Amino acid sequence: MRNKAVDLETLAKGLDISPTMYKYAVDRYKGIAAYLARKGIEADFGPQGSFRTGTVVRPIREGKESDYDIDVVCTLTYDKRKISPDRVKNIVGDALREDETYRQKLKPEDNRCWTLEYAEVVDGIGFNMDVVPAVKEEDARKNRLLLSGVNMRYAQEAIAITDKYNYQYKYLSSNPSGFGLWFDGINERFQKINLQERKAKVFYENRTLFSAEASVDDVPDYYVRSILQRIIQLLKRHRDLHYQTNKSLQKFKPASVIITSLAAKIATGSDATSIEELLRFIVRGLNEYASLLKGMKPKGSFIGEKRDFIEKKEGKWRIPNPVDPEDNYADSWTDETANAFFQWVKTVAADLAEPESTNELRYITGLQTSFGKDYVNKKLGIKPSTASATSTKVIRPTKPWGNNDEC
Amino acid sequence: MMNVNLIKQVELLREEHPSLTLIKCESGFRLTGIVVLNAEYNGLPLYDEYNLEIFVPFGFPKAIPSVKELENKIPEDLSHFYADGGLCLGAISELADYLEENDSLVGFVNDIVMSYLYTASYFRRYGEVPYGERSHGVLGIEETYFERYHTQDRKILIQLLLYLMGEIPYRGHCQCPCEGGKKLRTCHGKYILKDLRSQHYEYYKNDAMLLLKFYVNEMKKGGKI
Repeated sequence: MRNKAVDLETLAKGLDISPTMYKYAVDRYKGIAAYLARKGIEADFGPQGSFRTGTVVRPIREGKESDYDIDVVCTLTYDKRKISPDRVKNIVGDALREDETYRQKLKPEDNRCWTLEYAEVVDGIGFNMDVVPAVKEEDARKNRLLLSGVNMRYAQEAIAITDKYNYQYKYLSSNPSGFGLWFDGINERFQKINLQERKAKVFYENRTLFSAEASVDDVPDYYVRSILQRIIQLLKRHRDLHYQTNKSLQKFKPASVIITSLAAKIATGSDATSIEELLRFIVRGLNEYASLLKGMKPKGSFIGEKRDFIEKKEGKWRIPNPVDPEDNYADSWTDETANAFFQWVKTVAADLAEPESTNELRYITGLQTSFGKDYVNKKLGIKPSTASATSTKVIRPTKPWGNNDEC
Repeated sequence: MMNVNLIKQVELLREEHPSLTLIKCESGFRLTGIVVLNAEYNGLPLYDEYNLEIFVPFGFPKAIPSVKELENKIPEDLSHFYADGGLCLGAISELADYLEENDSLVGFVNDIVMSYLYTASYFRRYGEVPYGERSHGVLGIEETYFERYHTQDRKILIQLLLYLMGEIPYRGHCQCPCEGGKKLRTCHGKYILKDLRSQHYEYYKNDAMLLLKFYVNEMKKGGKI
């Protein structure tokens, strides 16, 4: 019987950005920061989104693995009250266009960012770097966050990004760094599990990334992935494949930040130390909220437990941003979206979170259904000649027919 | 007389699906047990287990097997069931066509039954069917005959069905009802003739009867044909 923990780890790792590419990307945005500084534009650069939380997943578009998407915030040192959003956006854009190298990589302006295309960086895989211009948020806004119960450490990281719509620019409040700190706080406990062992693995697999004198202790934490991060990666890829199976589902695909924040919130209640155990815990935790579809709040395990990770109030679905309660990740959700979400959770449970099965055929096919047959075969070294692969029959479709009128 | 070939076929099926237990009854074999679905379509593999009762009539392959699912695992809103709970595996004419070309019981289960189970598992996951479905009731039969006889015109179909039922004797040299100016045998007649000569003729004839009855009822209701 195969080792499920090892298989899940292997599959998640295969979706991740490699340490080499991570370093390459960081060097690139540091390069942009230095370039802007030479032009007299002071800016802090930092990763955001999955790049920040260590939950990057290689996108799959129309069944094909494509280049990574990497988000970077570029926070200018201007006072928000004294600079317009279109200035913020275009100071960065204009500067990038003035340099031949950046100009060639630059894609047409996006609503919120400037995208630089780095093609074929490592082993033919490249990435698109979304540079999001921003300024620090005003104190009034930060105070409002504090008043709504957001931790001071997170609140002070709030920024304002720009959004272009119909040729008009406006500011939007955002807090990628605060979110990152919030996530780190939860991830910390999971990060500690077998940390040395994980670091050693990164070190020896990427020896050239570190200097000759370096040791395992020199491996920074951001190269290492905890079981929580791995699970989020697996959930995201499962979601990608599930929602692209048919067209009617595509519009309901939940945002990555929904998966990341819910998984992290649920994980706080777990003392799991293995990937399988934590995956089961998270999937069960998500599934409990399915009772909202029937108008019932999920049962708490103790009296007074809030159970407010997902809410439905007055017909409106709500998944609050943990570092900005006013921001509702489920703002666009309808009952249909929620239905599709919990249906997806059920399939994850069936494919991945069922208790240990001794049925290898079921197990392997479950992984293939979840993450794609070719991907699983490649990563887990399953040869088409092995029993489990050959016994998969290709369907010769017959359309079922409903004869409920006649029989 | 016991069909030796059928006993062999049933044994082959049990080799393929070892958990099936066999009971011989008056008119055929009843096989009950877990059938494993491990199949893929369009690159999506699905694994599932279904507790089935497969009834194989002694007349197989002339007579078509029927299948029931015993644990209510197939979502009800898929609604491809007969009133007795049997699975509507496909339009009868299509099942007959399959057996016309493959007289193997293992083939029938692995192709036709698996295709249905795949649809059921897919539907449970995605709330949709993977490769389309027939309309319910008589309209589903009509759809298959439109495809089968290569016409989309109800009037032509009725003419062809009358040939099939023997209400109008089949004469190859007569004009084809499609008014394409050709003789029956070189036009739509060839599809009719194939069914007239088939060992599954009775199934096709039954479909034709249902359809014609339906058309008569429509006309009585004042509907147009």
